[in-house]
Amino acid sequence: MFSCNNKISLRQVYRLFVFDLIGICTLVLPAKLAYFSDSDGLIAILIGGLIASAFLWYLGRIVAGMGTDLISFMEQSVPVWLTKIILLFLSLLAVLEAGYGAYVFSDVMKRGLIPEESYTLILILILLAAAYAVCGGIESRARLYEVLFVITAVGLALMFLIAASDFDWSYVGPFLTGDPGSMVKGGLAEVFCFVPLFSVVFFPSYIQKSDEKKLIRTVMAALWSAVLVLFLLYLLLLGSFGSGALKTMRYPAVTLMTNIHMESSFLKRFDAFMLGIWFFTLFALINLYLFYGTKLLTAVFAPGMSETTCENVPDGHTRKSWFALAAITLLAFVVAELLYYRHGEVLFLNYVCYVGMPFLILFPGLALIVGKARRKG
Amino acid sequence: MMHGRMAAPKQVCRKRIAAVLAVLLLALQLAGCSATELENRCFPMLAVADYRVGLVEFCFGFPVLSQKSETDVEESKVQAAMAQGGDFASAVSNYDKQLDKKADCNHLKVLLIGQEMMEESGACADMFRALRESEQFPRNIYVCVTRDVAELLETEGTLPTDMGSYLQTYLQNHEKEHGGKLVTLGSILDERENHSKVLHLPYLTVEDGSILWDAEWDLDMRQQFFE
Repeated sequence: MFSCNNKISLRQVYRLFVFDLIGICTLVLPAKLAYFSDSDGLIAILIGGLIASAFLWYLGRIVAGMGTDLISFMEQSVPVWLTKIILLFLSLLAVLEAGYGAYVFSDVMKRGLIPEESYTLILILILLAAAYAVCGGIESRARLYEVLFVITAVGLALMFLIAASDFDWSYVGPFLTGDPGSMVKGGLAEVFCFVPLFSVVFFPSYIQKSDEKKLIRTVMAALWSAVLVLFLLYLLLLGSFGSGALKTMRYPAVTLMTNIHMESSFLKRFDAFMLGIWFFTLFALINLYLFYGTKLLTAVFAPGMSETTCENVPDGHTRKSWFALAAITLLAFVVAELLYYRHGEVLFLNYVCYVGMPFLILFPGLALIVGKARRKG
Repeated sequence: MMHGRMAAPKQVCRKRIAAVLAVLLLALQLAGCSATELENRCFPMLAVADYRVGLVEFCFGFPVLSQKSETDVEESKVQAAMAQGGDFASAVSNYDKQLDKKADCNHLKVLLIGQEMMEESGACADMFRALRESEQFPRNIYVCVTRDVAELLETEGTLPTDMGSYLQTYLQNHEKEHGGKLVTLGSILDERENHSKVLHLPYLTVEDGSILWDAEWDLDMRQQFFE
């Protein structure tokens, strides 16, 4: 079933990225788009797609310039102390994103399925499951989402078809009534949900050499697939609720499912059934950040360690990986607890806007410049 | 991702099976600590809200389960009189205290509101605000208005099913005659934010012991009208 060479195909790359991108953006973003842009949120989605495409193109140029994945390049070309600081900062970002994903996941499950259960208990079980899934490596992740992709796509299509019966065109529009700045704000909010795109800089080590030239094109296809899903969903939400009601909702896509009235007694809790879509996508997102967080932290304390799933390798490095995974998972737990009990969502979003994203944009370029300068020197 | 010492495949497999079993056993111990068991729940089909003498009144309507299965009627009976409160949330809370089982509103079908409640703008607005914030009732339940709640509920004894199920079927069967779409709780909550449509709720009366839908209630004008 697995090649045991830590490599995945471009089809798996595409499906992985689609899963990573559509989870948070379909759940949390529509309410924010309605708040910023009302019906112009549809235009904001396209603007966000273009900005994200530019970011991805930029990352593609970085990857091409490095000739290898980010960690290997930094270990070879950038001063050790600078490498450690940057990788540590990236690990912190991964922890925050994993914590946020786990917080949203636990909150959605508690509100939608098991309101009487403890949030902390749900969070612990989810993080344990995600941490266990990380142990299987990239091949395990890719294979899981390759299989789940069709199930999720069918579920989404079913949801759209059924919800479309309550669609009301009078709720959609008017367009271009707000200032352009509000549309750009909405687009930027979308880009912040597309932070998983940054993981493309780690992918050269996970794909065959022959596939490297097609990597960015594949991820671009995944990005625009996610943008299309978001566009259709937002249109459906606008037509079902109106922008006025949409901006007051926490998870409008889940609320959309509770709105459906089936005349027979079949599937009284259709919303519970469709929550499976977000179960898988949010799990993929948490998995992504735990995976890369562990990889980055391991690279800080055990640089040059190669990575494999079933090859025979010397002992000694294994313990550091386990500690890194445990540390990242524990920190993600703390972040998720703070987000829930201390209402830290605004602080987190401000961090992503003013620290996280600027760092992810600036540092790869700087790392490439410094690395190349050192190599020439 | 993870390195490991060379181990015989059987031993690795056994360790993994043991780890998975341990996690499952742990999860079994932790799960269901605070969940309410099925036998400790009751399932209302109807929610009733009214306004009398400056107080909000609230109650649920339950099915008599022997109508649906062989379940003993006494076992399933839920005895609770209409509760009162200064606002909707306190009326619901006071009603819940009377129940000896937890009300599971996921199967609720209809919200029946008395005319006095709809005419009292403050109490009505507070009710919808409370329903939006608590998310206690499903959004897809039908909403209708009646002149006299007590008179309507008295007809339940003559119905083939519980009042909630009966009203749901009745409204669906007469929807086309009244040329419009039935209004759900979700539509009302959304329209209070959008302010773009005028919603008309079914207005029910009782004539010769039978429930009749012969008028509409204008949500904005707070009055009934005949089509």
